[in-house]
Amino acid sequence: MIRPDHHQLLDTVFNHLQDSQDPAMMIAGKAWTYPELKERVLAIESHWIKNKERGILIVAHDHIDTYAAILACWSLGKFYVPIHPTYPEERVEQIKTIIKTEYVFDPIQNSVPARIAETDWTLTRAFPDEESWAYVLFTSGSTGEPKGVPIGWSNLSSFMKGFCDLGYELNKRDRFLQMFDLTFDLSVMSFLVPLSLGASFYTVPYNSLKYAVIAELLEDHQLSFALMVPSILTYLSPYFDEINAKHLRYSLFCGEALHEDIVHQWAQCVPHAQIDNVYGPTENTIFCTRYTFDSAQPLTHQGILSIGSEMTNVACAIWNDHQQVLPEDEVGNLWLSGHYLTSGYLNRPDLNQSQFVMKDNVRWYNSGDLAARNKEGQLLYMGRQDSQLKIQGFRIEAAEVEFQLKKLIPEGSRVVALGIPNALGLMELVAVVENEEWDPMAIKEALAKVLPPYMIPSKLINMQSFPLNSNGKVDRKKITEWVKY
Amino acid sequence: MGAEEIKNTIAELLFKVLNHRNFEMRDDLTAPDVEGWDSLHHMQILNEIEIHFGFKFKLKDLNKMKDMGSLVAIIQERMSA
Repeated sequence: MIRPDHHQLLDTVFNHLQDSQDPAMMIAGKAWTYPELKERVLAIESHWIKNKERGILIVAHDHIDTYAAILACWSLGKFYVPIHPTYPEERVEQIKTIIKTEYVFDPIQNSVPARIAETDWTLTRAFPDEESWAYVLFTSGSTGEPKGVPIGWSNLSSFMKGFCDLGYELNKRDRFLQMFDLTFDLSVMSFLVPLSLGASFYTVPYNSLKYAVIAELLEDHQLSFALMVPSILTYLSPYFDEINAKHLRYSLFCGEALHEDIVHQWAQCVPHAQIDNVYGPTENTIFCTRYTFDSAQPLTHQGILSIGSEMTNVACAIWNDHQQVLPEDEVGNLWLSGHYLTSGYLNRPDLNQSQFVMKDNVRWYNSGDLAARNKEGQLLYMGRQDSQLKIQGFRIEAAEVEFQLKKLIPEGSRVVALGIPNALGLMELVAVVENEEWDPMAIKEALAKVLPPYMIPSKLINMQSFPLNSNGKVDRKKITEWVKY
Repeated sequence: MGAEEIKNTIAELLFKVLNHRNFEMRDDLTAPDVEGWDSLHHMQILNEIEIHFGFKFKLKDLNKMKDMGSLVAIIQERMSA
């Protein structure tokens, strides 16, 4: 495996593009080779010949040109900002304003023609300096405006070094699963690691039944490396007795709490795989801690697997609310620092002040997660400090959903957005409104104009009056219990 | 069991899970055509179908369910197995 600074990393990827004849990716059942991918990168570079934008918004279809456009951004020294095809116009406008661009590249609508074959072009390598951004991702923000998280080349190349140090034995023959929307940073690992190896990755079409396609890919295409969200296991669990993914050597999970009981069952489906639970927020580049599952002695807290310990060049600290270090085994706020850490949210000095601190000349970020560290140095996940929700791996600020909902219900009415497991154990986004005068279908339609589909509650429920806790605040716990029963 | 009878049953199960009847039971009806029929509810719908008809879908069946017509055909196949 490569041990890159970011120019080495990009050189390695572009050398494979230049020289490899092997398959690079499979999209919707069609295989694309490295030479074919190179042709598309060249065509898009040419399409952008007069484009002076520093960053390009890319409508992230499951399409060869989406990946070619990302590579063209990097070869030209630009950063990319993925936009999901289902994002409502208002959200795209917000992102354009924050990035300060009017240009959006849509691989399907723009339909860049193939270049003229006689022209002998080589790939541009106008690689940026390490402080430049590789990509900007937008996450849910509590004030109704998405938060822009820029990830610099120094962050990304540090992550790649940390990934190399995890000791996975990988080479160009490996086949990777790429199950993520490109707006989700786990996608970056899932396509960049294989491209840096000259290996291949297999995508999962957006409108497919993801878990069923994943099971088919793992077996029929003999995938060897798969990073997934744990909810895929919940979907697949009724079919575990039919799955034998014997070629899978590394099975990683990230994005949600990983439960021990289902992992024991999954281990039977992937008999030759090392199962790792990795953890990290977008702000700290993809993931930054790792725990390797030991079926004989799994490390858990309340049935949830440990998130392990730090990757290279990452530090984690457990602090109390006054930012004082807590002793072993005590639960506190999980703060992160090191080379993977973003330079801060775009245009949000308020959040940059509240979520980041300097302590002894080290910059730290408050992950919002609660954790404890045991005497062996392993971290145990204990939940959230705030009302952020994880639904099918998507990170959702309950406050953003509530903010948009409040505009649609009678003034003065209260609303809470909650993550509640349904009868099949899958987490659903449920909104509870303290008023009877509303039409759930009309509200869902209105929400679809301002929020991405994964942020629209699957259920809207009326509750006559909200219970309050001892501090006089709306008691989310009690409402959750009420909805469950 | 005939295709129409199966379709009528599925329509009732869709109503039970999705709480509305804003769909027409055509053979080319797909999940994205129906409000709320996402992957989360898909699993619940399949679960309801399995309970009602008394069989379990195979994992390979799931990727063959392209539309209502193919879902009905798979149900008929499972019931005759």
